[in-house]
Order: sequence, then structure tokens, then C-alpha cells
Amino acid sequence: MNPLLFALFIQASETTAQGPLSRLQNGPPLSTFMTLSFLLFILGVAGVLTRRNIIIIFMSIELILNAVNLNMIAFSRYYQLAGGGNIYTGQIFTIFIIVVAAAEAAIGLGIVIAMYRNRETVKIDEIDLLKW
Amino acid sequence: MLQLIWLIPILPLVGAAINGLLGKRVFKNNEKLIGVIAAGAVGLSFIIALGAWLQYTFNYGPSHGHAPFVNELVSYTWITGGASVTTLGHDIGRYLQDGLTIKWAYQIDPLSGVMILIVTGVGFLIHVFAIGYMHGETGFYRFFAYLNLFMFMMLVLVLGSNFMMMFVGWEGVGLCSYLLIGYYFDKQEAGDASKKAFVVNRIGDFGFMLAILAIFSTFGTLDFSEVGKAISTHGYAVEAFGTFGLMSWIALGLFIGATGKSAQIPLYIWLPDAMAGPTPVSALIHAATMVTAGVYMVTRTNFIFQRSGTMMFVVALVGALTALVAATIAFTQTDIKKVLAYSTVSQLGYMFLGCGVGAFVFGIFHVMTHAFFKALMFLGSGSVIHGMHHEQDMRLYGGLKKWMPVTYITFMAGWIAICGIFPFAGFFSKDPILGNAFSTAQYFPNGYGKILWAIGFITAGFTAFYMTRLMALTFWGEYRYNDRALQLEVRSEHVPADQGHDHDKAHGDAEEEATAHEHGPGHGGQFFPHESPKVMLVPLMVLAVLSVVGGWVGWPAALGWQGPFTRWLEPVIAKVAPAEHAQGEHAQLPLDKEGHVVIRKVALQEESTGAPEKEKTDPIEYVLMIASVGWAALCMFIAYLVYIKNGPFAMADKIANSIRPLYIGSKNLWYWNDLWDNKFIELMKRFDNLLWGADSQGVDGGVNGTAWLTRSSSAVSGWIDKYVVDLVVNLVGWFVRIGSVFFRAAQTGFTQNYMLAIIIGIFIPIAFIVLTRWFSQ
Repeated sequence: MNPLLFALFIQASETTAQGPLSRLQNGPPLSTFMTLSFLLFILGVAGVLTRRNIIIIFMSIELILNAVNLNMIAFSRYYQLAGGGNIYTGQIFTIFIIVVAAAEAAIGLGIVIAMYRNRETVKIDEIDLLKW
Repeated sequence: MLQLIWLIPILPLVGAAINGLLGKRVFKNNEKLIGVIAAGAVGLSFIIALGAWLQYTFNYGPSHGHAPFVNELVSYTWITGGASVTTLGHDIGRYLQDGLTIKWAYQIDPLSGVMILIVTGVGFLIHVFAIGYMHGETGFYRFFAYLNLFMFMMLVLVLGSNFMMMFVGWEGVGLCSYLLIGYYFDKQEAGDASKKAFVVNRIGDFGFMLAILAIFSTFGTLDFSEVGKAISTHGYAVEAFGTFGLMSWIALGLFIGATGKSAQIPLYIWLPDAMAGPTPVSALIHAATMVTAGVYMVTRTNFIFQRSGTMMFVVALVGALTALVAATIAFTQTDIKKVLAYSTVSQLGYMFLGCGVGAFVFGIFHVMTHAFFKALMFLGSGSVIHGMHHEQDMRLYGGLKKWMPVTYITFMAGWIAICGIFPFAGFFSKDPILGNAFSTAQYFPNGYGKILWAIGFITAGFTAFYMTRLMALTFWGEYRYNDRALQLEVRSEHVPADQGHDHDKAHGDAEEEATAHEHGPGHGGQFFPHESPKVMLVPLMVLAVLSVVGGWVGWPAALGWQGPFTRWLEPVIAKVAPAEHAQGEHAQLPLDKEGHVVIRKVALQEESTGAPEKEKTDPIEYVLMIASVGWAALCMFIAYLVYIKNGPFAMADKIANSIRPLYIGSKNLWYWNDLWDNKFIELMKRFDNLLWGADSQGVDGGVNGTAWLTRSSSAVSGWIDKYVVDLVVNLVGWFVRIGSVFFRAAQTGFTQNYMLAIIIGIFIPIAFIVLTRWFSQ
């Protein structure tokens, strides 16, 4: 995710809370989605950085992806309400990400199983052959 | 047939190629196959040569004014060059239209016609003989390949249409001579002899080469007929006796070449040593063909020689002296082949004497008859050596006529022929040479001619004597081989000079080998010779017949009928008017008129003199003929008295003791070899040592100095390389090693560490942007 865009959206969400767009909103405001998404993202990163089981790291990566997906959907909706460009871009993007994540999960699990067969472990701190 | 003359040299070349390349591996040294190929190639050449000669002599020659026939079918421009005018100046341009052009073209004219007949005819017979003689040799194929190669070179020599082709043949026969003398390359003697022959020939070739260059720079062409035309159309005057001009210098160069190849004083020393080769080689190369190349060359260039009275005299004098000296050496030699070798040198001297007194036709005629009878005698000696299992010392022969009747009869024909007894071949060629010497006055004063005649006349007697001695020791008297005491005496005696010890040693080895054979001359056992096989006897018979009748083509007019030989060869001899000076002297000589008449009749047969002049045969001719035949017969009788009547050795030893110094001198070859060794060669060695000193001190010093300089400078640059360049490289290495201590710690191998780095990498810029915006607001 482009950090510049992220910052802009934080700004934008602040303005929408009080600005003219808020009356057009049908449901919770954008900031709610963004907060949830942020929490999910942090959870995912923390999982990736701290857990030692590769399977769990995978699951954490899924969390990160889903945080992104949630953001996409939210912004897509927000743009739609603001009369922006192509209203389905974000949603289609999300579907793509889900598909790719599924494929990635399948391959990743295959790698994990192959690794287990070789090393009898899925602990990531025991797999350190690339050390100097 | 005339268009086929290019085949004459090519056929033996093909034979040489086949035998040389396939003889060992493919033919497995199969003697029949190799012999048939080699002799067949030469035989075919002979048939073509005969056809071409007949057609030329009876058809082409008379209808074309006896101009040489140049084969246009197979000729090409061999050497071209356009810069002759530029490099040699406009003097050349006078004669030369289109620069240097040397063609490879075969030409036939009366002279080369006779020569190819001799070379291929005698060559064929000797090839056939060699098949029998070389039986059982491991190098059989090699021998015949060399022999055929020799035939090719010799035929190029005589068939070439220019000096360059002649030179190619000249060098080629030298090479083949070297190869064939050194055929038994495992014998020290043969190796030394072949080297000696080659080196001595080179001395002569040097003169020949200079003469060729002089001819080119004078006439601008090397073609025989072109040079002949140029020399007469551009009016090169005859240089009278006593003067030495351009023609004499060219003639001198040519003659030096001839002395080398034809074994004349001072370069004759190689020919006797060349007897180390197999006997057929001695017969073919060192008697019948190659050694006569000098005579051929002098005759071929007679238009140059005739223009120099001085050189004509030099040629005649060298020829006469060589004849005499070689004959005196032949008196005391005991090796049968050595006697024949010195006899060959002596006869070659006669040929040059003939050329020198203007009787070129008879010089060539003597080449022909000599080829017959000397090839016959060499082959006969080969047959004897074969029958005696490689014993070559005549003292151990004796009475061989009982065991070798055919060899004996045929040898006798050669013996009578070389002695010059009428009507055998030698008489017809030797006698006109002496007659011309007696009466010549065209080139030098007649008085000198008389002296030359006297030398030649005495030598004729000597020849008769030593040849009779050879006959007596070999074929007549008691068979002596089984006399143990004599054998021991002969074996223990080492010929003092002549590097004889090497010879005898090699000889002894051959003896040992022969002993191993079933009926070789064993120690203690009796040994008797045997007659040679038919393949060796048939060539002997043919040559014997030729030695009798071969001379009849040159039957002298004085004996009632004019043989055609002089008429055939006459067109080759240029008709040069005598020099003014010579004519002046001529008038003062007492015998001038008669002498002049005789030349015109006997030597040159100038113009088509009619019958009336022929009738006026000078009575002196008859006197000379009777005198020389009588003298030869007398010497033969003396030899008979010495070697037959009074035992083989008793009276000879008595005579030898009474003229001890002469005997010792002759036995030691008049110390001529020692003179060469001690004076010229020692001098050359000293000079070479000087050069060697200059080389080792001067040139090697320079080279070593350069090496020292290189070594020192490389030491310096090596030091710089080691301590400066390497230092920089090592510093880089150390830097990397020290630096890596910190940086490699980053590479933990834990995936999560890398993840953390990525995430920090993401969050730090984001945090930076966010915070800067925050504070700037």
C-alpha cells in the first residue's frame, strides 16, 4: 500500500465525518472501516513477526490481505458515494486478491508440507540455512 | 612420337612415386612387382625415346634444318618476371622483349636425342641387372625408387630446353647420387662417401650457377637456342688464346660445374669414394650417365666455349691431365671397383680432351661408347662381387673364368673396347679424339695440341695396361681365395691413404655377414664362386654386343666408309670462325695447312664437303691409328708378361720395389685427398674456428648481455609487482574482510528478522511523511 495514499485517506476520513458527504452516507462512516482494517493489519503484522509456526504466519498473512481487502471495499463505496470514477474498481481488485491469496495459500501449504517432509519441522526459527 | 617426349622423363618419375610410396606398405617389398614397375617405366621411356629419336633424325630434323624440336604440347611458363630490364639496365632490353620468361619445356635435338638413348637404354639394362643384384635387400623398393628418380632427373637434364631446367636436373642427379651412394646408410664409409660427393659437387654447382647468372645478365635469356642465336647475331667475337674476356668467364663457370659433376681435376676425388654405393649405381650414375653430364653441358654450350681459345685449352688440358693422373692411380688399386672408378675418371678426361680440342662430336661419341663398355664392366664387376659374396679385393680373385664363363666373355668385350683395339667401340671414339688433339690449331697453337696428344697417347697405353691387369687378376691365373695366408695378408694390410681403414672395416663386416650364409666364405672352409642368375647376365650380353658394334656408327671416313654419327651431331656444333690472333699464329706453325685440313674433315665435317675432299685423307691419320692400336697392344702384352707369364704378384712386386716412390705415390692416390684434407679443409676449419670465436664471443655476448639486462629489469619490476601492486590488492581484501565482520551479522538466517526489516523499512518513511505533515501544519 502506498503510504502517501494512506495518509490522504486519513485526512479525507476526518473531513467526511463532519463534511457534506456524511449526509449521503448509508451506514457506518469510512473511518470505522479504516480503523477495523488497521487493527486487522496490525494483528497480521504482529502475527507474522512473532509466531514461529509457519502455518500461523500464513494465517497472519491472510489477515493482512483481508485488511487490505476491507480497505478496498470501503474506499470503493466511498468513491461511489462521492460520484467518483469507476465504482467497481476496488471491488474487482478485491476479488482478484482473494483468488490470488487462495492460490498462494495452496502453493504455500504445498511448500510447507515439502519442507516438513525434509526437515521434520515447521518452526521458522529452525530453518536458517541461509545464515552466513 | 615427338609430341610424346614429355613422357620420357615423367614415366620414371611415376615409377619412383609408386615404388617410393607404396613399395614398403602395399607391395611388401615384393621384388618382382617393384622390379617390373621400375624397369618397365624406364623401358617404356626407352621405346618412346627411340621412336622420338628416329622421327627426329630421319624426318623432323632434315626437314627443319636440324632445329631443336620443342614440345609445345606439355610446356608451360615456369618462371616469369618482368623486372629484368629495370633491375639489369637497358643492356638487357636489347635482347629481351618481354622480361624474364623461363619455360618448362622439353626439347629434342641431335645432342639430346643421343643422350636420351644412352640414358634410357643403358639405364634400362642396368635396372634389369639390379633386379638380380639387389635380390634380398630390405631396401629393395627404396633402391628402385631412387634409381627411377635419378632417371627422371637425368632426363630433365638432357631434355630441358634452357639452362634452368638443366640446372634442376643437374642438382637432382646430384641429390640422387647422394641418396644412392649412401644407400647402405648403416655403413660409415657409405655415409661419408655420399656426403663427400654432395659437398664436392656443390663446389662445382657454384660455378655453374654463376655462369647461368652471367649468361642471363649478358643475353637476357636462358633458352639454349635463344642464347645461341643472340651470341651469333650480336657479334661476340672469338677471344683468342691468351686473352680472357666475358665468354671465357662464362665458360670458366660452366667448366667448374663440369669438373664437379664429371669428376675432373681438381674435383675428381668424390668419384672413387662413390663406389661405396651398390654396383648398379656405380654403373649407371658413376660411369654411364650422370658423370657425363659435364661433357653434355660443355657440348651443349659449345658456342660459348668455342668463343674462348683460352678456355678451350683449359678444358683440353684438364681433361688430358685427369686422364693421365687417374690412369696412374688405377695401376696400383686392388679393389676392383676402385680400378674401374679411376678408369672412369680417366675416360671422362678423354671426353673433355675431345671437347677442348674442338671435337665435341667425338666427346659425345666417347660418352656413348664409354657408357656401353664401362657400364658393361661395372656390371661385370657387380656380377663378380655377387658371385664372390661381396669380396672386392682382386688379389683374392683369380681364375674366375672357370666359374663365371658368361661374365668372363662379356667382360672381355669391355676390356678390348676400353683398350681401343679395332674394331671394338672404344677405338672409334678414342682415336678421333687423339687425332684431333694432334692436329688442332683452331683454338690454340698446334704445339700445345701435340703435347695434349702425347699425354692422351701415353694414357691410352696405361689404360690398356691396368685393364689387362684387372682381367689378369680377376679372370685368369690361379683361383686364390682359399689361400689362407694370402687372405690374412690382404686383410691385415690397410690401404695407407684413401681413408682405406674405414673401407676395410666395413668390408670385414660384410664378410662376417656373408659367413652367416650357407656357403659364404667361412673361416677354414673352402669357398668357390658361382655364376650370376640370368637376369644379370642378359644385360651383360646386350652391353657386350653394344661394346663391339656400338662404335661402328662413328666409323671414320679414313677407313673407307663414313659412319652417320658425326653427320647426326654436326648441326649441334656451332661453326665459329677462328680468332684473328689464332689464325695469325696458325700461319707461323709448321704443320698449319695439314692441321687445318684435318680439322675440317675429322672434327667438324663443316659444310657439305663432297667426295673429292674425303679422298684426300691425311696419311698422318693412318699413322696415328696404327700407332695407338700398336701402343695399346704393346701395353697389353707387357701386362700379360707381368701378371700372367710371371705369376700374379712376383714380377709386379719386383717392379714396384724398383720404382718405390712412384708406387707409393700411386697407391696413395698421389696424396690428393690428403692435400684436400690437410690444406684446404684444415684452412677452412681454422677459418670456421675464427668465425666460431666471433660468434661465441661477439654475437653470443650480445645475446647474453640482452638476457642479463632483461633479467635485471625484470627483477626490479618483479619487486614492484610484489610489494606495491600486491599490497594494494591485499589492502582491498583486508578492508572487505574487516568490513564484513559488521555487515554479515545482518544475515541471521531467521525469516522473521528480514520481515521486521521490511516492515521497519516501510514504516520509517511513512512515519517520516506523516510526522513532517503533522508538524508543518
